[in-house]
Amino acid sequence: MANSDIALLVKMLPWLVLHPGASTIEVANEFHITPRQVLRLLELVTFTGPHQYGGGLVDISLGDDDGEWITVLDAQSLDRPVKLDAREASALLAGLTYLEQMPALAEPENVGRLIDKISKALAPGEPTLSVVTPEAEREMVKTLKQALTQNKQVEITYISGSAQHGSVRVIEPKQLSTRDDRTFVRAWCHEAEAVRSFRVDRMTKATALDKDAKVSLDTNELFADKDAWIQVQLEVDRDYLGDFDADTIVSMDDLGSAVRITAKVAHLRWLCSVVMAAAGGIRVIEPAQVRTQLQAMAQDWKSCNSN
Amino acid sequence: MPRSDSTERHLNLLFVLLNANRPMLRETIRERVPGYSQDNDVAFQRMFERDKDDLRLLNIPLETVPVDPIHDDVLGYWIDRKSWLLPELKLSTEERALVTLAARVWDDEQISAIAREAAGRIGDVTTESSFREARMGGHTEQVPALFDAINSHKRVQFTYASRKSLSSNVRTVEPWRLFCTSGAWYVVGFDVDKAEQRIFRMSRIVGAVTILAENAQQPVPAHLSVTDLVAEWREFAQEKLSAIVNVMPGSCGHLRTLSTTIEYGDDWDTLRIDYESQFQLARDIATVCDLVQVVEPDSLRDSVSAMINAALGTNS
Repeated sequence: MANSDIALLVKMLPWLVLHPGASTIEVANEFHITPRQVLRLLELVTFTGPHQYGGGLVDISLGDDDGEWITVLDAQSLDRPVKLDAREASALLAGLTYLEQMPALAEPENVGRLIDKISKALAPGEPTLSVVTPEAEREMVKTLKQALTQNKQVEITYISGSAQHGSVRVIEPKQLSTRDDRTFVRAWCHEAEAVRSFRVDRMTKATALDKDAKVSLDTNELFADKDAWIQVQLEVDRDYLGDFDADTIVSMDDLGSAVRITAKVAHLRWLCSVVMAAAGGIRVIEPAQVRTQLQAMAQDWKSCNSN
Repeated sequence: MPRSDSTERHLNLLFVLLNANRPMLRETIRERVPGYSQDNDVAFQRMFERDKDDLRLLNIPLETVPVDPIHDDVLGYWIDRKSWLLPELKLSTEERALVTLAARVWDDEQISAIAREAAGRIGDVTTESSFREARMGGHTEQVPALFDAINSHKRVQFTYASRKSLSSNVRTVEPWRLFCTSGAWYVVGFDVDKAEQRIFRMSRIVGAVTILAENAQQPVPAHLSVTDLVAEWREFAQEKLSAIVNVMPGSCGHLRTLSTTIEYGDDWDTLRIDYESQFQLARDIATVCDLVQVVEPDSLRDSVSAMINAALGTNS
């Protein structure tokens, strides 16, 4: 359809202005079209035009290797993107408001300023979304974040989810992430001598040490341990999908109110815990031995808890 | 005469109008845009009408306005860049990275696509380092609609499954604030039918939230503090309960952190746990059920047993 070319160009030209030097592949990915289509559209705008303007409407410089790097020199008044509609603005501003309240990820003041800037350009709004995090947690997040940026070690007291005492460990924070109102830190753990994930709400204490971090990791190494995790196949009621981190889910099939997932878990013991707490919301397909483990857990419970 | 196909003509029309600084006469457009018939008036007229409709179908605000405010009988055509396009925001690199991060928080695929599209227009970055990541998981599909309703002071309607009655009914609400606590998302607002402030858990909203045309009538309370609200609501919604639970020595770290007192013994350590939600505590116990003995209350023990039986039921 001819019209869809115009619709695409109206989006693509301002995007190219905002992302100078983008590659054909990047543009193709951004707009879900093929690199060949990208080049065809660019050709269309560069060769179309009223004669009195000397032909080309838009001036675009293509890098050497067949348009590998695209830079728009003159977008002829279409250098600004179309305004956001209410849904788009809400999806973006709600996301920013969420970030503003998770100090693990960014300086709240910076996010606040950005929200002001963007809301002014869209429609004026008020802060309408909050995340309620305990004060103690905010302090620990501050410590961890500072250690991450300054590349220092931190001593934490940690209560692990399954069956452990609170333990004191020295960690080197490498990544902070949040899910809903929870903050997670991915770190090099001196005790385990490996990368581990920790939930900040399970820490009772976090003290910055005046010692530089010793281990530096790239992104692959940071998540490499997940390759060694055990692959499991489950049917999970949608209510319990949140128990599994998005990046541990390998594949997902829709079954209506439930989904079938292939996921990676660090320990089968952890999986058993989650299955028990889901009260029938999770069915383990593979590995079958989990069922035996669940029965053993239930047996232990019954022997101590029958009236 | 050189023949332009319709895409090229649309494009030319768009750029000619965008570059004009005041409404342009039909005849001027005919001269400037290649592809319009210079000798057949009827053919030009028909083609121009169709092109205008085509551009308008793409949500391009091609307006018909008087060329001169004094002589409002002479009409011209005009695309108001100011109302159609975003103003320049001049974001720093860090701000663009934040935009990228904010657009990625949604687990829900549909909203995620909308947010990413919006971020692309505001000016995101194509690569964001992986040292930080944010997710709003679970039941957040309704957040954008509610967020939008709050900002535009509109009423909303949704089907809500009540926790007590297991039935669901349609609620009309003036939403005030959204919040997340203990991993769940809530909306607080004015329930129009009940005529009072209410809190709704988003996971119990069935289907989509509809934004109504009606404006919200109740003013948002001036000192609405979500933190106070959450504290009060917990007080109100659940009376304090207390359990006595035995745990194996050196185990059950999480239950220990919930306890107010611990008595150490040889076979068992005895914890006293004050709790608000029996369901939540039963879940916590179920995760370590092979290491725990519930001394009291019986109802807590029963609900853990029920969970375990249900889990075994689907996994036998």
